[in-house]
Amino acid sequence: MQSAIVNRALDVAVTLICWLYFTLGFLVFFSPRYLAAALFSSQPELAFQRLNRSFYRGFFALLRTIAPRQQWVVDERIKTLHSAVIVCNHLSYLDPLLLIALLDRSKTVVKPIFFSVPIFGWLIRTSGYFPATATGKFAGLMLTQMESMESYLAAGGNLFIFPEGTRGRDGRIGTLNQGALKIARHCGAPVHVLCLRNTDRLFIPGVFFFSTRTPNCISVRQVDHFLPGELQGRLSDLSTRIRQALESCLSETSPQEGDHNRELPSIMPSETKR
Amino acid sequence: MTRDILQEKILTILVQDFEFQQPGLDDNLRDVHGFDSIDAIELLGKIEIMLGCSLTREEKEKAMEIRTINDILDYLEKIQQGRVR
Repeated sequence: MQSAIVNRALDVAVTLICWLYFTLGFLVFFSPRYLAAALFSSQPELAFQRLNRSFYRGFFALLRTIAPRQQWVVDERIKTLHSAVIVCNHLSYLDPLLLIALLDRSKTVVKPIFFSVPIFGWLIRTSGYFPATATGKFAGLMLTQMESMESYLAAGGNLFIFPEGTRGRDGRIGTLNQGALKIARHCGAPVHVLCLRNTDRLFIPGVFFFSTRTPNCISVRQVDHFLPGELQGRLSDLSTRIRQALESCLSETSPQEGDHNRELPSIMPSETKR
Repeated sequence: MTRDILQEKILTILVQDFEFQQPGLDDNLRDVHGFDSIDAIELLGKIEIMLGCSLTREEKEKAMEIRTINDILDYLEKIQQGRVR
C-alpha cells in the first residue's frame, strides 16, 4: 500500500518536472532562440526544425534521467535518415516527440486544431508542419507545403507520418492511410517503416501522469524500407507489406516479458541502448 | 472541350493513375475511392497538362472542396469559361 503511494507520488513528480520543462524550460531556454530564428534566420523553417529537435532531445534526456526504469533502444540507422518519407505505428503522444528528437530534420502532419493554438500554432506552421485536412482555411497551407515537398525532401529533409492517423488502443495496427506512400511516390523519395514499442506503457493513452515505476523497454527500429522504384506498384500491396512488417515487429516477445537484460541486445545488432 | 470529353479524360486519369475501380459520377471520392488532398493536388497537375494552362492559387484552393467527379467536371467547365472570357 505504502509502496503504491510512493510510486504514485514519483509518477506525479516526473510528470510535473516534464511539464515544467515544457513551460518554463521552453520560455526561458528556447523561446528567445525561436524568436531569433523567426526574425533573423534566412531559412526559418529549417532553423525551427533544428530547434524542435533540440527541445525534444532535451526532453528525452530529462525523462531518461528522472525515469531510470525506462530503457530506450534505438536503431542507430534512424538517426542517419535523410530525404525520406517515414511511416510508423502510433501508440502514444510521445511518439511524434521521439521522432522529432531522433531525426535530423523533420516535418509531419498535425491535427488541424493545433494550428489555432496560440504560439504552438505559429511554431508548427513555421516549422513546415501541415494539417491533416486541405479544406477551408487549410487549403492554402496544404498546397504550399505539398508544392515544396519535393525540394524539401531532395534537400535532405524527412517527412514522418503515422498512417493509422491516430493512436492504436488495442495493440493492433489500424487501417493504414496511403497518403505517405502517395507523397513518396510523387516526390521520388524512399519510404522507411519504423516500429515503435511500449511508449504507451510510459505514457498511457487517456492517463495524465507518466507511468515510470514499472520497468519498461521502449524501442524504435526500422523494419522495412522501399526504394523509390518499388513505389510504382499498387498502393494497396505496399500498404499490406507495411502492415505485415509492423505486425511482425509488434508480435515479437516484448523485452520486459522475458529476461530484460538478455533480450535487449538481440533486438538488432545495430541498435544501441541510450 | 465539351463536358463529355472532359468526363472521358478525367475518368481515364482516375482509373489509370489513381487506381479507381468503376467510378461513379456522384461517388464521394474520399469515402468510396480513398481520394485525399494529396491525390487532389496530384490531379491538379494532370489537369494543368490536360488544359494546357497553369491554374491560379485561388483556383487550386477551390479544388480542395471537390467531393465528386461531377464536381470536378463543374470545376473544369468554370475554369474553361474563365479562360475564354
